Amino acid sequence: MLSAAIDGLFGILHWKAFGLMIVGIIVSSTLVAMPGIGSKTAIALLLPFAFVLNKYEAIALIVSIWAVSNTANSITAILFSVPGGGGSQATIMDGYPMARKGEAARALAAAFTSSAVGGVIGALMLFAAIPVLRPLVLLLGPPEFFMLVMLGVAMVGTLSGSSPLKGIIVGAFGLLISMIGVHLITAVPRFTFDSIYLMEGVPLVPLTIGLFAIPELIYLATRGSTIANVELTNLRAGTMQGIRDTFTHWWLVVRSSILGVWIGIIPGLGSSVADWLAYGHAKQTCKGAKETFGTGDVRGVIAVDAATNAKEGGAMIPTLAFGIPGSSTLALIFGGLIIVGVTPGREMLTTQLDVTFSIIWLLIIASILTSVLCLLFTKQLAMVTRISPQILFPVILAMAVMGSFASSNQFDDIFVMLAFGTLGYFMRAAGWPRPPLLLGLVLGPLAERHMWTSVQIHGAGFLLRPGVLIILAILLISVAYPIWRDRRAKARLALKGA
Amino acid sequence: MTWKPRIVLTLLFIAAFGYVVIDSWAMPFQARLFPWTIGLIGLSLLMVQLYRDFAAAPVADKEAGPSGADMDFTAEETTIAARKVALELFGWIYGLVAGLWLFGFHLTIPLFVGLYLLRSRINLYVSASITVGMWLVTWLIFDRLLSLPFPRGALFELFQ
Repeated sequence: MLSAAIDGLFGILHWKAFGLMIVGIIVSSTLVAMPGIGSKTAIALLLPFAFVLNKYEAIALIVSIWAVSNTANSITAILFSVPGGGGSQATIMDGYPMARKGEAARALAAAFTSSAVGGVIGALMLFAAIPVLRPLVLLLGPPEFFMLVMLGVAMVGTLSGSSPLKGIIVGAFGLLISMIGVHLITAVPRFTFDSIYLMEGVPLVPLTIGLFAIPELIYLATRGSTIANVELTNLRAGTMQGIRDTFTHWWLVVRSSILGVWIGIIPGLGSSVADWLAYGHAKQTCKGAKETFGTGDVRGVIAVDAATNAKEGGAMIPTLAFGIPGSSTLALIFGGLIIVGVTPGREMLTTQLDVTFSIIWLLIIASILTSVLCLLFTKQLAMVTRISPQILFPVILAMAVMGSFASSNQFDDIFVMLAFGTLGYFMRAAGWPRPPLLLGLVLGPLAERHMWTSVQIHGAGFLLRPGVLIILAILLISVAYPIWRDRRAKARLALKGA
Repeated sequence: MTWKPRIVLTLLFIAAFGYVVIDSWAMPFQARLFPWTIGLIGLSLLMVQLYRDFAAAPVADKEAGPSGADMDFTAEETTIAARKVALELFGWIYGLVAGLWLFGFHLTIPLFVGLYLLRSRINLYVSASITVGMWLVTWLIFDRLLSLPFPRGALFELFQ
């Protein structure tokens, strides 16, 4: 294990991998600072480069984009009261009042520092989980893995939108798309419409760019104006105080980080849950918080940013150990790992342990480096939000088109991007969540392989294995609970109305 | 029973799931097991969704709360003006793809960027700089560094 840890560290400290990590950090910090463009779009745009990189270089580029995406989005939340992403909604609660009181630099420094500490704690907890997970993963067979995949898709489907039913259907639709192409066992072409292009299946990169980047670009250009029309105040005075605040409230940072890791482990619960839970936790447990929270208390900023960044380490646990990404962003990273020949799952804890360690090292190094860069270039990053969407739209769209084409160097890739871009826009318009589709697409081949192996070994009886029944019960509860909770809430509302 | 445009998407999904179930009928058992499993589960769920879509008193989706991980449509996007803008943007996107097919990447990318910036009334010097910059990115990164075999464009192929 020690040699794998050292190999992983040297792998990403190689000048090329390290340079790509810096590129990833800069791209991610710049793009996620603009509300409307998330880490998914950033990863999707850079994923084509993975084809020409070795595994450490590709991991350095892709994972660094994801690992730091929760840090820079605090800038717009604190300065302009506009959440840069799901994980910075609660940052506004105290960050923005602090900025209005002239303590913007303090709030930003506290956010960046607690984010770095949270990221390190998340990575360390991932590291601590490896010895525990290794024997556990080896105990599970194909039937349990099949059910775990189904659980992952169902949970992300249930939790990623405003309607659990729609989410699960979209997850199943993603599984359906994953079936397109030549069936690996029988060599039968499935749902290819006699197209040679579709024989290898629907490629991940153009689908992702279409599904996420196109609707988000349209959102960006529809909005028309920049968000940051306000004057940028002094963003230096108070920085040291903000850094000190994080370490003064170290116990709050540790508690919030542990909460973040725990939320990250559960598939489907994203940053937008972690931040509000951490905020709520801090409000309930900090001295005098009930009076000061919401008026510019630095503890409200610290708790949120520590939790959202620590969550990423937790989210990596089911992804690496069981091959079940807990979110669509992780599904993209999953796809990126497959591009460079690394299959998440059991291998990541056995033969590819060095890759797992390189991800842990990346989480630590990237978290610290991003915070330092954000502290140094806060004003420049804030100014990025002043770029007109009318300039961003053609530039990012052109990059998206070329990135899609790079997937398999065929013009059909662009048609796939176009088709899923249109579908993605209408899915947003009609309230159908998009993340489960990506998860279904990525996990489909894995689910089918485990299902067939299970049927071959156990017949239909694989569904009656104790492990399968336990996971099935969890699946049913996780699907039924949100529906039951909504019905109960509606019934209460109806009673109140009467 | 009330008709809503969003039903179109539900019907589209039903068509897709139905096609998968029917098309996999003739496949060997190994190849059709997974499509059948997912297809039939999906169809059953879609029937419930269709009922919800058609129901006279529709069962409203719960408000997008903190758990909503996907970006919901904002209020400003639902206005007629915003939809017109979105339609125009789709026109630009489809136009870009048509241009790429007809004229190839090296010509279409800078042309698209330049025309869009001019249409958006961006300063001429800024527009020109960004257009040249995008051409350089296309040529240096995607053509030289990644060695992408950009097609020449159907029109140029025709006159070759």
